[in-house]
Amino acid sequence: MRLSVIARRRVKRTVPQLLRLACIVALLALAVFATSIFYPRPLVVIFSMSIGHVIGMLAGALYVLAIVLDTIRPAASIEPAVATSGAASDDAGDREALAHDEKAPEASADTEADDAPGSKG
Amino acid sequence: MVQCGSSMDANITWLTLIALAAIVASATILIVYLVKKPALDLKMKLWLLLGLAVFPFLGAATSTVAGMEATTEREFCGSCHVMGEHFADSSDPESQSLAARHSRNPFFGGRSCYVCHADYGMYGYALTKAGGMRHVYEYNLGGYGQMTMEEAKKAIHLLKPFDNLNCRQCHTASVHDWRRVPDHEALKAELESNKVSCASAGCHGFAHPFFKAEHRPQAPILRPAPPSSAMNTLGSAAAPLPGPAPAAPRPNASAAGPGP
Repeated sequence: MRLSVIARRRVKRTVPQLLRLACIVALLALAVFATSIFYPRPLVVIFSMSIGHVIGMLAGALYVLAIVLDTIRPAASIEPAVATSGAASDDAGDREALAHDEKAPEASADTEADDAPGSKG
Repeated sequence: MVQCGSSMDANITWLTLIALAAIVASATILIVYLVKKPALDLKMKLWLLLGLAVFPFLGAATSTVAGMEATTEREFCGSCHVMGEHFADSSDPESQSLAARHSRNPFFGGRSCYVCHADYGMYGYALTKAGGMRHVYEYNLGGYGQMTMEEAKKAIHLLKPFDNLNCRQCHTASVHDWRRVPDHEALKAELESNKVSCASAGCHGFAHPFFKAEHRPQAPILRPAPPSSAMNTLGSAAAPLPGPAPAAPRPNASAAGPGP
């Protein structure tokens, strides 16, 4: 549950970064397309039709990835521990999650020991 | 590596205008998003869908088609320096070479290289473009880019004999004007089997005679009698050319034309 909180924070930070990266990559692809229109020379046209398209598809894939991450993020907030919303409560949630993670190793080690085969014998 | 092309201009058509409009629209949306950094609500997602998917897809598709169209232009073929003499000759209004006369045709003169050298048939376009990739490879990595024109004249040759079918896309062999020429009828089997080239010294002359060092000045051109016909309208100039008597037709192995 705590890990999902951290993952949610990371996703929340990642989506805008992915979109900005997609925008930059798309601008690069558009520049390649425009260059092939204004300077239709053999290498430029070939570069535009091959690498330019790959760059453009990469931008589209980054956009789709960002939208998918943004779409699945609200599903995690249904859980009671992460039901808070707003920037201030998010920061508080981060701190709480991190503080809990510092204490967590012992508990998680116990859990793993309990779950290990033969430990209940 | 010698840079290809120095005098080419963009050929602005409605297709390139659509491509440019899509590119500008997409770039505007993306730059506004990067500068303003708005909140990622549904409206912004839809704007980004336009800027990152719809408009770039439109721009990529139209620029690809425009690029493929640009590769059929005579200026595109002449943009590599080893084709400089071919381009200069075909652009010369005074030249009487077969290529120059075809290049003055208002219907396809701007694309005369492609129209005459492209393979004819269902997959002709794709096969020609695939062959063009070989040209690019040979020019940039095969050493042709570093050649002088004199070296290129010795090294560059057609990969396969010039197919008479390419001529007969326009100059059909079924019309009366073609059939009434005695040499056409006499050489019909050889012409169909490409054993004799239409563009040979004894027939209609080399398409690029300056590239045939052993045939300077221009080889004699056999001109058929009819002054006004559909064949002449579509193809070479109707006016007969001065020159000595026609020589015997040459085998197609020495057909004229460039191409690494």
